[in-house]
Amino acid sequence: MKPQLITRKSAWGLALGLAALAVLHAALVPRHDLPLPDGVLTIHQAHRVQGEDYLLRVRAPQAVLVGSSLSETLPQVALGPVHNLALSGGSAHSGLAIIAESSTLPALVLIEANVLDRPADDALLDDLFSPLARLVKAACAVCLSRNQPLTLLLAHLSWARLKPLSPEEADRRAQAATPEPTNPATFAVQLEGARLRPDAKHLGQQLGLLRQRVQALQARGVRVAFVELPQDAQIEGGVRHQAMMSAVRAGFPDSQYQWLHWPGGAVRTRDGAHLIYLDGHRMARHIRTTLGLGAPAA
Amino acid sequence: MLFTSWIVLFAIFVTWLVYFSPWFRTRQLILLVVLSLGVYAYEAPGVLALLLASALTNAMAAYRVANATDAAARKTWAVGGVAFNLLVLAFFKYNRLLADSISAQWLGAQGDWIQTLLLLPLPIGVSFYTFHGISLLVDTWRGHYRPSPLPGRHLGQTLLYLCFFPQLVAGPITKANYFYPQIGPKTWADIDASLAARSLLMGYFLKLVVANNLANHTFTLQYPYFLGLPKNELLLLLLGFSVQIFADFAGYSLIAIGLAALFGYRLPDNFNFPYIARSFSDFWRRWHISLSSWLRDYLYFPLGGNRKGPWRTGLNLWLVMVLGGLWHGAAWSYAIWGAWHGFALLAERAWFGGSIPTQRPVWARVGHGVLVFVVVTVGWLLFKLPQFNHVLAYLQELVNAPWQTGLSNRSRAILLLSLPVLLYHLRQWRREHGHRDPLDGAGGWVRALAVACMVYLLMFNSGPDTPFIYFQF
Repeated sequence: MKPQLITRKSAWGLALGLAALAVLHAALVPRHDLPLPDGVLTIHQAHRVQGEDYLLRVRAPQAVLVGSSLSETLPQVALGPVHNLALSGGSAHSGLAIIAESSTLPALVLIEANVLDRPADDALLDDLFSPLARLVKAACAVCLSRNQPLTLLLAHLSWARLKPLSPEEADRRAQAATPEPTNPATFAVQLEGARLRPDAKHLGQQLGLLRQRVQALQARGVRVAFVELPQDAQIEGGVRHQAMMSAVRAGFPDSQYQWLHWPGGAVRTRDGAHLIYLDGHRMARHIRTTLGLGAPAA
Repeated sequence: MLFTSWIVLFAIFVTWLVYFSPWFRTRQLILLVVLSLGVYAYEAPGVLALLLASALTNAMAAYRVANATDAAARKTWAVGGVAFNLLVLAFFKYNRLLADSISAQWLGAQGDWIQTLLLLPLPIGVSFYTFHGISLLVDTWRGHYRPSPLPGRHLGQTLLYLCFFPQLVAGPITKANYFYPQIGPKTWADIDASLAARSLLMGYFLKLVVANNLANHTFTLQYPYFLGLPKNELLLLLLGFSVQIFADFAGYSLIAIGLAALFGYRLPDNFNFPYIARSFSDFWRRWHISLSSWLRDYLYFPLGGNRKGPWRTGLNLWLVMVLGGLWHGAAWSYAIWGAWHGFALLAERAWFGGSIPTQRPVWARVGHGVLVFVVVTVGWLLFKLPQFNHVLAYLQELVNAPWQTGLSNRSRAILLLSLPVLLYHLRQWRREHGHRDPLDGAGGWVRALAVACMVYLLMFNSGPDTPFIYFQF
């Protein structure tokens, strides 16, 4: 005789176990929003957290910055009212799709022009835009990506050792820290990539999609501007950056769109592409000032 | 991807519902073949024709091997069939290597056409279904399996054997004489519900919770991102990848076994807690068991096995490991990985003289087991870092990097996600050493809690969709 797969006892055990875990999980969710410690989230999780935060929690920001990891490194505390929706490892396309899907639109969208050949992350967007998942996540905080049980467990382990800092305090310490030197190995990899010409056909397709997204936002009353983030001179001189910028500028000329640039002076990067914290801070303040969104603290 | 795709799972579920209805009782084979081809076409529509051509060729060759009247004809069909499978495997697996090696000038006017052919993508599952085809032909040749005398029935059975969806794209590699006898009408009573439930729960847990999350937490185990990391983090990244590759492939195999069980079929076990192996030879009896036993039966034994003296045995063993490594892909790193394991097996044979004593001090047994785990885990670097100079860069960094006091959050995440696999192996280790199964403690409540934890984490902590590592092979 085959053993019974589910006995009354095991069913009760399973049900009680699931209930106990749900209670434990709910108890781990912080009462107030706390920035999750570094290293707790993977890139994929971080994208979901950013997307869910924007769709479910952010209320009509004045301006939104969309782009890749180049923009993602710009500190939110220095950007002030400009909500940073740039996705590390992604591009402006995903950010624009998220904005278009949100219930309220910002007055201005700032698009990072450096990386526009990466397509939108369809898997991410499918997850974020699923009506059922959105409904459940809006109603139940434990279902949010930032509140995954193992993520919360790791965050609590981290907070038990180091109390979470306010964004302002974290920013003050980051500015006071010794600037990190450029990593020669990652710089070499970035440089190698900078020497590769982007696929013209693919870039053309992506810019065509960008045009559609921009026009759809403009039709809904949103102002669109572009920002070119500074990189090391060798990277900027590479065929990839040159081809990318000339294509974007041809499609979205200065005469029709506002363009923002590095305010001038030497650029310091971690790897040739990503700004060190202090320069990211400077660029963020410059963006805020140029867009006329309040005077930031120096 | 495939078994984690809702569309594929829905198609499997609908087919499963009608599969046992009386009307389909005599059409189950056709239904399974159609489902399997549909699942494959959903994943790789462009190479469905190759799969069908392979199945038809193998069915015809096996039929001829079984029914040819003279020995020469039987041999011709058997050798020709095996050669066909090896050519398909070699061409589609190594075409890109050829494309990179052959210059356009040498190709002349036909260059574009041949280059296009050489740049065809790797058809998923080709390594597995060609091995199934070889097994069919060799088993028929050896008389271990006798095809149905009815050509239509034989064709249908062979289509199912080569295309059966749970094992099609990444195994387990099933031998013909194991699978064919199972083909026949199935009823609800043929479902091993306990096996299906256990395999599916554990398989999905290992894949979705452990492997998919670890895949992202071990992202920095790539050149040049690991440069500059402290020694403890470098070690934990490697440990994390070692756990990830096990969870990914063992998880996939368990899902395949569970799905096959739902349709009344039994696929062979592919993993038997490999990270508690007591020796290198024990490791290969526990890791990717279906490939190891396939290589043993269809390569090692025909080469002479251990019947031709110690030197020839050593050479055979090493050669089988190198070829087994190359089976994974057209890169020298895979051959080096095979050679690495081959040398480990040879060293073990040389040290112990062919048989490892069962009665040894505890420190010797534990030390041997740890050595196996370390050597195996270092070997995975060749899977993770396809360029050999990047492997050397990692090892150099590991030697030179300083230790860091305390653990980073990433290291903690890797440890936390590796914990279920550690406990999974620890439980088996206790059972193998005559201890009571810890899950039976407290009147079965521990087991219920463990299942609840797995279900809960599947619901709330599954990682992002990540391709199965072995799909690329």
